[in-house]
Amino acid sequence: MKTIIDILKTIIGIIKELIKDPMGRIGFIGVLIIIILSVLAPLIAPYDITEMFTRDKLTAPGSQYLFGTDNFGRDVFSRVIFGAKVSLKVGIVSVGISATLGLIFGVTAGYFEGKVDNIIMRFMDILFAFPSILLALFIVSVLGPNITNTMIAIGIVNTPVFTRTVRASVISVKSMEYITSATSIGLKPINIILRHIVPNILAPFTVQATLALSGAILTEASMSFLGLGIQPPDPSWGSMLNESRKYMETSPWLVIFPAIFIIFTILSFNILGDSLRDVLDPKLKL
Amino acid sequence: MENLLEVKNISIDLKTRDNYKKLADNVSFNIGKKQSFGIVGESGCGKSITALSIMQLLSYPLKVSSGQIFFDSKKGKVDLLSLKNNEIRRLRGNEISMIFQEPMTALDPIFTIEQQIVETLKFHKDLNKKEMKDMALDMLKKVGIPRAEQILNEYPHQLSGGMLQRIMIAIALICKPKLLIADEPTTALDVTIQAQILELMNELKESYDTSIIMITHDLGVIAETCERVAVFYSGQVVEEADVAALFHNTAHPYTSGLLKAVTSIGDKSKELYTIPGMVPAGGHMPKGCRFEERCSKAVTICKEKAPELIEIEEGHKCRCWLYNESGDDK
Repeated sequence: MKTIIDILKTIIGIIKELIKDPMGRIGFIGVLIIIILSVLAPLIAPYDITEMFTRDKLTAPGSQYLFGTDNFGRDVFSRVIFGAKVSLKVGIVSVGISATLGLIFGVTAGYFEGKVDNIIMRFMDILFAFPSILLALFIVSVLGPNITNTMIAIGIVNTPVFTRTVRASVISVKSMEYITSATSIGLKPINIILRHIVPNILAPFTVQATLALSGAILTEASMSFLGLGIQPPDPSWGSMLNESRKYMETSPWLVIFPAIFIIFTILSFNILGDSLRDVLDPKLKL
Repeated sequence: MENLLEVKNISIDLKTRDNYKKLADNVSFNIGKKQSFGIVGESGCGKSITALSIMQLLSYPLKVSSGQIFFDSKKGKVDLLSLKNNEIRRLRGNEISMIFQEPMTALDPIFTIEQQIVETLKFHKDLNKKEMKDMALDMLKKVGIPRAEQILNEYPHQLSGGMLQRIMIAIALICKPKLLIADEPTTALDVTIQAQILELMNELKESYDTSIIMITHDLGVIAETCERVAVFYSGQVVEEADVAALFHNTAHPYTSGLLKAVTSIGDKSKELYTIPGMVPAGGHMPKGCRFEERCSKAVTICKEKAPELIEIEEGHKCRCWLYNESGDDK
């Protein structure tokens, strides 16, 4: 119980530190907005995302349809809001997958070094050699395009970055005297890893996760744009862009609003990640 | 005196694909029960890795290539180097423990002092939370920490180096080990704190009946704390003697060089004494004596043949041709 309170205190401390920095404040508020939008999407969205107002096809933004309607007469505002939900879900789950895999592989490679390290890292190098979107498309086309497989694919694609970050941090933490000290009081390797190494690499790990979130969201948008990501009728910013290509000249709002949301989200996460790095960098403050 | 630890012909290699160095070469020494044993030498002479090898703490690419280390554990005499991982783990922190040079980095920054002291107990003793906390508190008081109750809940970065070193000592001694290895415990501390820490270690050694291996490059520390001393040079023991004999009846030219290099307040000489030359690099050991190049008393044989560590008087060993009869013949 006490540790949970401690952790909460730490998180609050980090957020306080974060919003002291103007850029950090922008990033934090931006991300907060995205989160609120996606959590409250069903409440905020004025219309059902699949409901077609056939008489109001391609209506320009106005009081009735805030962001206008698309070629089927669906409300763009509602779809963009639900798109945030999808994007965030894909981002969080896929980063969760790659972070977990990266943590396991990275810690194993960094702690044991030698042969294990070589095998894991060379495999990661191979994954790294593929352009990420290509690899993600390949995985999805093997597994079949749907939201779960998209998340899996993005998760796998991002794993090497996490593995490298984690491994590098583990190697630097491992050479600290408190690790030798922990060995010298008789701890088992598994205890040393879980109690002393993992908590000490959380700072770079958290930063990496925040930055990877924006990458994952962008990859999802690109994949959906190419038609191999989120499938209709689920709204996704990427697929909305794709569908509206034909009407871009006559109804630019179809492109502008999803694009603005993509930019806004990516930018918010990147700014947040950057300032988070500044806050966490010297040492995890407790 | 009965021996607690017998280090027999330990050699430690550094071996990578394109690098091979012998960092410790046939090192032997014995440590008696309740004895404090000093290991002195300059940086890179192999003193720390020899100490680390006792607890099997060397990590790749360092490796003990030959030798044995016998330790008189609770379960009888064991060779520490041939113990399995889980067997050596039971000894670490329980019967042999270690304190390190940098108290600032030797404690994990993200745990409170209490959590770190209790960690050792958790692995070696079967106690409940309350008992462990009481022991931790008791131990902190023993090592002279003021407001111990409060300190238990603080983090390492809130405390000073001297305090942290006291806490390290508390952690090391909480299971009442038979042997405490202190790897330059005072190097990172300022002089007044140094004296306090050394005094504390001397006191605790008496009350806990612990043997101490004191690794240092400071002869002052040796004089203050040790009964017996081994002088390391370039991975070898060059002289081993009781502390009084070492200071008053110095045998090896390297040891006398070290003693000469000690400065004292009021010394009016313009330049400080240094031993000329450099330690031979690990990969290129000379054929003869390793100290020959820097030695003022070197003779022809020193260059040709390496001297052995021989007993020149009772309890006083030296590795030098000056004291070797067979050397004189040639």
